Amino acid sequence: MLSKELVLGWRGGSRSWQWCARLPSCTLVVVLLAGVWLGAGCATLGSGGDSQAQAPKLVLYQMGSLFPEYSEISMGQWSQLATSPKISLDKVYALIVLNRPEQALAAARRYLNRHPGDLDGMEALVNVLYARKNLALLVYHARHVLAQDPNRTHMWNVLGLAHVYTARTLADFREAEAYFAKALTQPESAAVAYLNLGFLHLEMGAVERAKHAFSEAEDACGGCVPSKLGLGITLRRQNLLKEAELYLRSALKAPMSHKARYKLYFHLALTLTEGEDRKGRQEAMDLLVEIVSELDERDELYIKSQAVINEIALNQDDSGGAATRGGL
Amino acid sequence: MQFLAYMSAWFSCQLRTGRAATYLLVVLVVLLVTHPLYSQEPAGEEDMAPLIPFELTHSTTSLARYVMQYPSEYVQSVTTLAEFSALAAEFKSLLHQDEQAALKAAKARLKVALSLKYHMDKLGIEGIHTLPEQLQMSPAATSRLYRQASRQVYTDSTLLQKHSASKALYQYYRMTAGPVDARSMAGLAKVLKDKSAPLALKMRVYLQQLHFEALADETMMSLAKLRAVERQYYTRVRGISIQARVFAELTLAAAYVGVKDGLKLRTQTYPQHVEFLKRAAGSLDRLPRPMARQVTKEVFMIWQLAADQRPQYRRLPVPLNQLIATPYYGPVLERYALARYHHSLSGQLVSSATQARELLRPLESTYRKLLRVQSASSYQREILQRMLRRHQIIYQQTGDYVGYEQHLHWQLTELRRSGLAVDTAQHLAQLHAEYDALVDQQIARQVPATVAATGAATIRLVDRYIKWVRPPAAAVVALYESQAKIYVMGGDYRRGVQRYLKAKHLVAEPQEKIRLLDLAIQYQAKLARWPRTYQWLQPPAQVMVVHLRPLRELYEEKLALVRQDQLALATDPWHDVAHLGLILRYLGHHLRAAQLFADALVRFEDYSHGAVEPAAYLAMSIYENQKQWQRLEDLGMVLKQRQLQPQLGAKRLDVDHKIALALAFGGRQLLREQQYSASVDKFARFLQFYGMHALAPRVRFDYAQGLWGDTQYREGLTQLEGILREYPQFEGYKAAVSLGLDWSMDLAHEKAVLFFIQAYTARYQDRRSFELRIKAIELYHYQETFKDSYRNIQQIKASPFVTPAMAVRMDLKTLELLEESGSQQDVSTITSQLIRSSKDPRVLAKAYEMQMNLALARRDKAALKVIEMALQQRGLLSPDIKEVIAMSRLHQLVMSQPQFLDHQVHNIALRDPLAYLRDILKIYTQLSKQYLELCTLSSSGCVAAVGYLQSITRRTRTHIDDVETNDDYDQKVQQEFLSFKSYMERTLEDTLARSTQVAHNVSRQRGGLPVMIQRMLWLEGKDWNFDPLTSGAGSGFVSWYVKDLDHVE
Repeated sequence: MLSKELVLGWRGGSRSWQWCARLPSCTLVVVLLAGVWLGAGCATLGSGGDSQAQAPKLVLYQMGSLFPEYSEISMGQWSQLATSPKISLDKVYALIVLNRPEQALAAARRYLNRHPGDLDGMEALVNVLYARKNLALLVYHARHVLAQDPNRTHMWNVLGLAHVYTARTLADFREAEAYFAKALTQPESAAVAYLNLGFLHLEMGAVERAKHAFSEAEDACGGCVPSKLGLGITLRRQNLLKEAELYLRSALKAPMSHKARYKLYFHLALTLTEGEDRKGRQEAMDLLVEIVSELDERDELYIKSQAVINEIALNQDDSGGAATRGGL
Repeated sequence: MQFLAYMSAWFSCQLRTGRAATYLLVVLVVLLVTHPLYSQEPAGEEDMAPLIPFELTHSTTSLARYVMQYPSEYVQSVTTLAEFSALAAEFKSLLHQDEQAALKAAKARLKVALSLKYHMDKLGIEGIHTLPEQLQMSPAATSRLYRQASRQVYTDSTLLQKHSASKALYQYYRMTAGPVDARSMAGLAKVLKDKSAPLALKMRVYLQQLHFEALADETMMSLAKLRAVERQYYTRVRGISIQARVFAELTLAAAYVGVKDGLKLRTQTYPQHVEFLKRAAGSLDRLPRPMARQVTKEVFMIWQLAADQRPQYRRLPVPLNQLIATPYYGPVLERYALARYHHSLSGQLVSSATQARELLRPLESTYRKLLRVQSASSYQREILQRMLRRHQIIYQQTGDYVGYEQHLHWQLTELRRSGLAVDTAQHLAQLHAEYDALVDQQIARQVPATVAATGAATIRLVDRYIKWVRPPAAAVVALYESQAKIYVMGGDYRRGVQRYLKAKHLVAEPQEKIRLLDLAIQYQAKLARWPRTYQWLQPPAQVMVVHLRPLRELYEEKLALVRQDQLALATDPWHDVAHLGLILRYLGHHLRAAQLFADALVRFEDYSHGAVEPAAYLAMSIYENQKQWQRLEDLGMVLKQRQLQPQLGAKRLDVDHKIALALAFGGRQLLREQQYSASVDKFARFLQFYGMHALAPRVRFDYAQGLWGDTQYREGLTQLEGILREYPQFEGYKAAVSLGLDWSMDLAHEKAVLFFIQAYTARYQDRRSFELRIKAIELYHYQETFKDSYRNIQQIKASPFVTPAMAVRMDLKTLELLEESGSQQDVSTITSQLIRSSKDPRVLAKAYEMQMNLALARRDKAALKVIEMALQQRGLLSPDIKEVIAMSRLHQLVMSQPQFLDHQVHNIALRDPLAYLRDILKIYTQLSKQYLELCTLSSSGCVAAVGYLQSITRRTRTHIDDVETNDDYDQKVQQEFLSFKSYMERTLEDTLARSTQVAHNVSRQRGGLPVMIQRMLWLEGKDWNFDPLTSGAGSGFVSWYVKDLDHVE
């Protein structure tokens, strides 16, 4: 577990940290989140379906921008922890954040060899396995942790995600829902569980339920960015474009990383594109152009943005009218 | 001598101040001090050294105090220098007052003047130097002040009434402050005439006058002169107080004796002094106590100086009790006692001891009084010596050693009590010698005796001797031994042992101590009835336990000495060790006995003794019984190293076996006490040396636990695995497996977990086994060992603990595994089995789906049809089965898609384009109906079907674009053709729109798999909006959808 002193030392005891310090699994959340917000390039589309590269992105969906303060943790500090000769949980999490899952796994195992039965160590191992997408083993260890301490509800979240990944039938998705629902029982994991539920419902086409879940998440995390993003996407699915735009614009007011900001730009651009307002469309084009100009070509967001730009251009060449997807 | 010097200084002061009355007393003092009785020089046989100095008879304060007896309101309270200083300061201020000052001022000045005088009288001439500090004046100024005060008193006296106490006092001051002469004496006579003058003042004045007259003459001592003075005395005596009269009598007595300035100036002593001494002594009872004491002393001194030869101490001038609390009492008392003793002996012959005792009695009684005084002198020593000699004679005559001893005791006690051992060292030595001789004689006489009473008396005598004489330690040891001999001869072993022990305490040499302890042990053993032979097998009978404990202590003490001083070679320690060990065992102190034996085995290397082997046997047995494993191990190593065989009678012990036990159980004990490192060390040694021992599996199990406790987790786990592999019959097999499971889980060591699960499940079929198998599923899954995993699941299903729901889950898990890593053959076989055995719709749906996929891979349309039929025959309408039916039907439809789309249209060849279009429309309509029917079954199937339908629709539209009519056809036909073609295009567009709406409605109402929802969004043009949680599985919509299309095509 990332030592509390270290964390507090970085932040000087801000209110967010004080709230965080009360939560048993909060430091885990902290580390993973920090990995997302700082590990630019981890969530790239250009990796060609590399599942490990996607891991922090998923964490982003779990955690949202609950704690934007973590973005201030520098990579240098993570690197320092990761290269420390002492085997500690700090090191394990640092290796996760730095996207070195193999080393993280070795470090977690070495830690457990020295501290057998340590549940924090087990939890770290589960997180490493999640990063490696070693889902079968993840399920085994997560169940073991929960058998020892049922209050570690973050493990339910991880189990739910593991089921989502391995789901083949609707029943599997429903089982994942049940795991997320268990994670809702503890306040410290509720916000993340609501976010996961929201995106899962969205994925399964249950837009109303997704909207409800995102609303709860927004309450639980105090209006964090992912909850607003989820609400924006949900409302756009329902063709409530104005409300969607409102949520996405309010999310942009929060401090966040560039990567998160471009993601919000993208969804805002989509919302504006679907609207009837010409100015809005122009703004959408500007946002997309900014994304394309700032991001790497291999970035998933870059590719998507470029595709949308092309589509808009094609539609304009076709002298307006509603273009269909078949035209692509 | 310092005293005399001080006296001379004081005396000179007195001369100046006219304190004539003191002269006489001072003279007496000096005389007495210089008297041979108090001189340090020996003066013949009867002379004695001065024991204490004479008290200062008349201190410098006495006169002033005397003056202060006047009832003066001024000076009575002036006693301290500070107060006097205040008065002096006041006087200084009064001197500067106006001449018209009140009479009170005169009195006050008198008071101050008297105070100054008092001060001078009190401190002598040196006193004047103490004043300046108080008055803040120089000594010269003080002297001037003093003189000024004297003059002022003269002046002031004229202011006072003629007859008054103050006037008399002024008068006294005037006369005594100046030189003593006839004129001043005449002035003082006025005081005598003054009626109001205080009596004490008058007495004072009278005495001064008397003394002046009596001693005024240098020759002084003419009898005629003395007679005249005596007459004057007789005329005055009636009018003065008893005190003054006594002092007058003393003055006269001194004058008759011829004493002046402390010397007896006149050789002749007039006998009249006796009368005056008697008178003074006779008035003692009427005087106040302090004054009586003073007078007594003075009387006694005059009496001594008056004697021409040695004073007759048998007849004292004053009773002895009057001398109590005076320095004279002691010296006079001893002289008095000796005088009486001499007198009692003179002219008498001692004929018997009784008579001798009678003669001694007054001396002793007097001497007892004498010894109450803290003093000693040659007289005392002489008396003691004489008394001792007398008692010695009595003892020799009568043999009454008790009386003699009592006297010795008495002298010793008294001498010690009075703290005079230094002065009487010689006498003490003599007393001790006498006592020694007495005790020796008695012991010599009593030791051979067998009569207890006589022996007891001797013992008591010795005790008293030791107590009183305190002889040297060596002598006491011998005396104690002799006492002990007397006791044991009389059969009193207990006291005999006590005496030996007391003697032992006084001895410093270890060997001597051991000798005495041996003697004590010998008789203590008799008391306890403890046999001298070693009884290893049977405890001795009729042992007195109460005496056995002291015997144990004696043995222990002796052995401690032997150990401490390395006297083992000189003694036979094994004898004592054996006895002590057996005693300890008899008393129930088995462990201590064993420790004793073990310690002896290490310490005493003489292994030829017969007690060695039994001792080793007993020690090992006790250690084993008492679970003293470390000690057992240590002892075993010693025995092994020295090649000793523990043996008791015919019984022998295997040392190696015992060491193995000690290591095994000792290690376990340490393990329980959480001393893991130490326990690991023990177990490792056991396994190293006794690996084939029967306890080896158990030790290895404990070893594993020790390693775990010692944070060597992996090693501990390895040991457990080794136990299970090498000792399948180990009785703690189950515990080892459980422990291994816990540890491996804690270490997150998945392979080890599986190993232990397999070890457990291979042997046990209980519920735990069942649960472990369930736990193993994920691990097998992780290891991707399908066969093991499948076998495990089959075992779970076969377990009696499995529930129907659990069985279904197992089937689903099987299918999942199969799908992931099963071969085609496995899929075919196992799904067929499950279809036959299971009735659960989810299992069936999944199994059929997998078979459907196989058929799809073979493009076996018939098989798909069979599957669809089979599912329909099942009559199950669960959503999952509907999904499979829908997908099966969809795949059949896809496989049987119309051929016309695959052929290039050759318009020329078309005989009837319109009919061609109509055929196509017919086929298309039928197809679209079939596709859209799937939407009634499943949402996912519906979306997929709509996707295919839209694809077909677009291709159909492209296809019919190529269909043209020949110009040969007439206009009407061409019109119909174009019209139909237009209708057909609209129909296709409508189908596209309608199918999209249908798919949208179905997915929205029922939900669906994410992949279907994504397709739906694509259909709606909102695919970019899909930002799935599982996007990690693919790389976004575009890529996988294209792949899907590829698959379709």
